[in-house]
Amino acid sequence: MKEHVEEGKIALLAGEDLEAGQMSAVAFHVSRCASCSAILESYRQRRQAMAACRDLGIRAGEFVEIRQSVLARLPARKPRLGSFPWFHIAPLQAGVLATLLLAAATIGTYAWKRAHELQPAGTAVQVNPIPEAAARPSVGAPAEFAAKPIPARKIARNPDRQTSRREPPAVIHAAPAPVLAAVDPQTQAHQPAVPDDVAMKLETSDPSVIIIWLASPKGAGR
Amino acid sequence: MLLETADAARFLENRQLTTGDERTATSETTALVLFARAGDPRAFEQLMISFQKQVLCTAARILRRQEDAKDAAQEVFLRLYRHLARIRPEAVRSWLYRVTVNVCRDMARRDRRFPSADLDADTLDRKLLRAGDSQVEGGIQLETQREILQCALQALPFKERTALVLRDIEGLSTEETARILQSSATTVRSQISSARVKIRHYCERALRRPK
Repeated sequence: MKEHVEEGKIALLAGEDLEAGQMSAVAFHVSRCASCSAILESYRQRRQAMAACRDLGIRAGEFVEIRQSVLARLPARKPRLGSFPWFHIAPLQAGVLATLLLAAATIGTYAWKRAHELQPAGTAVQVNPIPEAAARPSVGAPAEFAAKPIPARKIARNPDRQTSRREPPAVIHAAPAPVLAAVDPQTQAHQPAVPDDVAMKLETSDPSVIIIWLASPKGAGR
Repeated sequence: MLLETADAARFLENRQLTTGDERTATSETTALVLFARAGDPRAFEQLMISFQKQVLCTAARILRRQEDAKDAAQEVFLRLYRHLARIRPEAVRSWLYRVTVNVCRDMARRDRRFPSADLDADTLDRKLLRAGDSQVEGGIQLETQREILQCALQALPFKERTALVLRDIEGLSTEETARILQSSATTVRSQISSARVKIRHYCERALRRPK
């Protein structure tokens, strides 16, 4: 024999743990090699000895001691809650019940929201129509119209409006710049005031963007 | 609960019809598990009696001290009680092996952090010497062999020791050992091979030791 088989393989052969591919080759070598055969025999004897001393000779009293200790440490069974035997339900039933409760809660919430959305028109916020003169102010518009700005929120909360956020900015506020009425010191009578500038305030869907257009009766808007 | 008790009773009735020790043992275990699940403490105690030797011997082989093995066995049975509802009755045996190994691994890690004084090399050598002395009169006695093997096992690394205990002492197959150790069969083969070689050298050194 030129080369001996690895000792580890002989050790595996002793317990027939070698893979099928290696088993025959190693067994063939061992059958022809005296030293490897002796090693294999010693492994087999040792393995038998190990199997023989499986029983550690533990006394029965020790087993009893362990069992009693375990039984003493077992958690006590949970007492029944009141006198409702239906309360003790299986996990599957509990799951079904929880699902039903969740579905009922979801439907209830949806219905409540829907009912509030479809309230009668009388309860909705009344929208003030924009006076035509205020919406399209002319240079000589009277000051009474200009003094009544329309709050933007009242228009925005109209529930019947089917508008998207990307619509062009609406004319919300058309207010001429405050003009003091001129008083003739001779007659002490109020003369009709002629506004110098008209300011138009345009609010867009973005609350941070406001367009202010100033129109002058003498010149073009800027 | 009532359903489980009825199942257990049916199992016990069917047990009369089965033949073969292993089959009977399996159906007995199944019935005991079902009764224990239903809350019968006697069934659980009977279950412990059925597996106490397996659990305690395995733990004692893997761990180094008998007291640790007892603690491990208690922990294993407490885990069995806690997980009784989830264990398949026919897989109780391998489940117990796996939990025993896991509990022993935890205890071994704890031991590594707090090494015990009676586990040092000198103690092992003294044990070995004593075992070697007793062989002089009329060959190697079983007790001597047992002591030498126990010393050799203690000298092995944890993984090799566990694989060897399950394969050679408990007599499980390589595949079953691999499943219990949650490893591959190739790894287990390698561990077993290494462990056997080390044990052989250890034992030969013990028996050749000059007095």
